[in-house]
Amino acid sequence: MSISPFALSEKILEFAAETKRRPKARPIKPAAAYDTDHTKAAASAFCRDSGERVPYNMLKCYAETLAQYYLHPESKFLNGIYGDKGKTLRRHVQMSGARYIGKESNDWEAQAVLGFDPHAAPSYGISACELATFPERLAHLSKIQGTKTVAERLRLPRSAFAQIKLAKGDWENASYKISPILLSQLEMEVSSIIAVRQSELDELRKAVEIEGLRNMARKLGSDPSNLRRSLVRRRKI
Amino acid sequence: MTGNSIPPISDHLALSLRAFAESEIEKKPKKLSKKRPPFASDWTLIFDTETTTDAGQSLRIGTYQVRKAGKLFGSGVFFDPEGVSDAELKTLKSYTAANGLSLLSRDEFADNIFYDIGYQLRATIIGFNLPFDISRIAIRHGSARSNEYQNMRGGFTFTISKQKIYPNCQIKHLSRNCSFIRFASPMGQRNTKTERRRGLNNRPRRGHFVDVKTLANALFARGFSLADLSKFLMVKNPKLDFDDFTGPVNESMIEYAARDVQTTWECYVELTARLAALGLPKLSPDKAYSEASIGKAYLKEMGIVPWQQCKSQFPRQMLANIMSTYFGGRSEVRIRRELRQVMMCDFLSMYPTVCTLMGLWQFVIADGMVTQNATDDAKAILENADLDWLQRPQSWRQLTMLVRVKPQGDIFPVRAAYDEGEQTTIGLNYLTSGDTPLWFTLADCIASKLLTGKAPEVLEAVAFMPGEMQSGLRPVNVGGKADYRVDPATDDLYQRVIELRNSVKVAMKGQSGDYLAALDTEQNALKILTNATSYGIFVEINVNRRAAPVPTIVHSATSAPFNFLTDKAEETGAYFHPLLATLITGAARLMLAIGERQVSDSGLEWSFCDTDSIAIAKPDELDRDQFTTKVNNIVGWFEALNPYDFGGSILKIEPENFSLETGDLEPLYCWAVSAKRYALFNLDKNNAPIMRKVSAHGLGQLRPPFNEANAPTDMPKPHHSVLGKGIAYWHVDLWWRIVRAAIAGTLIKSRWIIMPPCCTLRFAVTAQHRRTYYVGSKAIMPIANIATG
Repeated sequence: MSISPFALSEKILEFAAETKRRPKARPIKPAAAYDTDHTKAAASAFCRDSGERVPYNMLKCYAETLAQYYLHPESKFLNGIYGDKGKTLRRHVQMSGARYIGKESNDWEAQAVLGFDPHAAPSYGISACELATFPERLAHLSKIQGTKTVAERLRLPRSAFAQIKLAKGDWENASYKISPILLSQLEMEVSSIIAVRQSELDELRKAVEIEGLRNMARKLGSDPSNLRRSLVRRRKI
Repeated sequence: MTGNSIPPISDHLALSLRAFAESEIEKKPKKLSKKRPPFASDWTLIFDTETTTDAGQSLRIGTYQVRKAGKLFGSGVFFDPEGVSDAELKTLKSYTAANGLSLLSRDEFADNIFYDIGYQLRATIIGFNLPFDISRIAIRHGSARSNEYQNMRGGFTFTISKQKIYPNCQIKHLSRNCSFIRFASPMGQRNTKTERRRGLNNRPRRGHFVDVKTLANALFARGFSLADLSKFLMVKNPKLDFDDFTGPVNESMIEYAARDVQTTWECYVELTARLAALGLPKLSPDKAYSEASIGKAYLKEMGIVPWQQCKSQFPRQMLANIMSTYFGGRSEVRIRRELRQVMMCDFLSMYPTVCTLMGLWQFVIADGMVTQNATDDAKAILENADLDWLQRPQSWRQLTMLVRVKPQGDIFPVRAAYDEGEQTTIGLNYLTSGDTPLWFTLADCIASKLLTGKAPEVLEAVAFMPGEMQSGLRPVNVGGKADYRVDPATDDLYQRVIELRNSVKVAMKGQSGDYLAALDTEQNALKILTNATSYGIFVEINVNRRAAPVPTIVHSATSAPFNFLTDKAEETGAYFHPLLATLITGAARLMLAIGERQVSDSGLEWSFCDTDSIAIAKPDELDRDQFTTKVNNIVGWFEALNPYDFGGSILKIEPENFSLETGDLEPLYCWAVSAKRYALFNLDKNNAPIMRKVSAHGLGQLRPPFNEANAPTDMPKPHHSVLGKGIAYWHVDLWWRIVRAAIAGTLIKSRWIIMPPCCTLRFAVTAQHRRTYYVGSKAIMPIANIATG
């Protein structure tokens, strides 16, 4: 018994009509007394967190639950996401760090029913060496992408982001909130941005060498001194 | 496949590596009195409850039997005064009077039967799904209190009697089929003044609880309902059909409840006879929690001392290195969502077979193990290892090595979060680790060479060898039969048991009646022995939650030990031996890699593989006969690796490849979606699928939306061989619709699936750390079954 995708937005709209402030959307976790008759079970559905009754029309049906069963991704390989068909391809993984874990299959029975629980399996974080690199890595990312963007992409509160970046207070503990996959993705994006910028800069330098600084600045509609400054400044990237 | 160019780096990922963690706090077990609590008496109490059908599922009536030495001593019905009306009580009185049964209130049952018989007389308390029934007769519940040495944290405690002299009953859920159940310590002082002065602590009486569901699962490695079990065991009084649980308590309901108790007893008698047939006198029914319990009992019976006790001071860094090489079975899809003709092949008893080939039994019976630097040997093996080398059984004896390599585009098992999120999966992918060397089994390194054509760069290797053979080993007669004698000192247990089982299976052909049933019991006992001792117990780790995070030392393969605060404690099982676990799964992956390489060298393809099986796919341009010949050649290649006294290849062509009518080879087709999600089928003249095997992966948690009786009628009735072993009728129906849409080249429309509007999952509220569930203001008593999602 799961919740229909439209149910939450309907719920929010209902609350919004009554109050001025938009309430925080809390997921409804439906449960019901066990009954071999689905209709009877659905009629007694309630939220297992709040105890509130869950109307029948907010429940997900079998067709919705199984709608993507036949498309289930094989994401450990390339060409394995929902719409893909044909041969899957092995990924080439560059190790960007290590996460130490314990028994990964712990409590899997409950997770099969209630969904993935990131706290079910023992997790021992990362090594002190890798942890020590976090402030520098975040500082580098925020320099390129900006603090707000990076914090949002890493799904971190700005305060926690600043704490880790500046290695202040209990920043080691705060670092465990960073999702390794999000950090890796962001770093890959940033490195490709740097590569693009670098190639643009190289082309610009070549053009300046050929055409001269003043002519090039005129073509770009820029001031020559500003152009020189940006060429010098960007060299540091 | 060899010589393939390495693709460019596609992902930068953090690898999840298994570590070895141990608490900084040293365990100081209490000094226990040598006086052990007495064993179970010859009294037994069997009971069952019937409840309301609302969310609370509170008690209405219950039935019980008390037996002494198996003979019925008394039986009756009990009721919750708040759960029955006056009219229902009248019915109960008249029924019990007419049938010579006692009628008790819930309180009377708790004090006079549950505690007087079950606790004071040390009876064995029997039920089917006992945690549910105990929770129904409870009047209060709370969190089980437990210290560091008793693993009941996270469980529930139930108050059953209002008399304070009686202890609570504690239940901790372990899995769908298994819970720890025991009496808590009673109130008051249980040690004498002298004992207290000497610091001795008498063990409290914990009771003897047998959940028939757990016992059946341990013996047959599958879940049962009481109805299924009674049919399976062919007991005299099988469970009755009854479904009017919402109506008033009437004679039919009482009769049904009373029969349940009788059925439970008969199943218990049959199961204990099967357990006794295993020849394990020290394993009592209340301690047979799973197949692993039976495996451990066998090893104990043979006098084998666990490796951890032989070598408790094994270097922690080496343990961490071993753990980092541990990955489970390989499960992948190669040809996704594409209709292909396949031949389904699987390896004969994969784990016992690789155990035998590598001679791992010698490690089990050894007094510890020794290690030596084998860097040069590993380099030489990797240099020479090819298909010919691997076809020699003696080569596999050299695979008891772990190798530290610097992966540079080598193919290794990679555990990482491939999706956006934290959930990790294992995929056999190209790996480059930069400056960080990683440990893998030698088998994984050879598999990489087979698949890439180049050997990984070896930095260091360690060879493991068994120590001296333990003294005090004893032969056992499996199933109590002298013909099935296994001597741990001279026999390779895995080889001997597989050979014995094969001989029993041969003897079963052409037999019928009681003799066939007896042989079937014997082969089942042998199967349990092999399954239970060849893998799982070596990597048994139980995760317990602590009350608060405690400092833990984490030993890992790629960093120095460091401290970490965690509220989870990983307790290793009695026969924990991670080296064996990692060598076994590594060798199994090598077997599949050999299969993959053979497939590639033969110009064939493969659709999917799963731990010990591979679906070899026919390229479109290849002739059917040529395809069969090539697959037979691959199967034949593995014949040389058969370590048993009976002939044949260890790679078998599965029965699904043969026609249901004629028994001849028939084209089999495959539709695979992702790892463990696939369907195998034949096609009839009209190109309509005839299902042969489907997977229930990702469906098992859903309650059946329909059964065979009320199923949609457009699907032809599947053959009985497709159903069973976790496959329900609706699973076949779902796959049939997927495959039919695939053949027609149309997208499956969800509305095609004729199912009830609401999707329900069955789940029991079994863990104390999850919050109490409420319906309005009323808390649901734990262990109630709920439908959830």
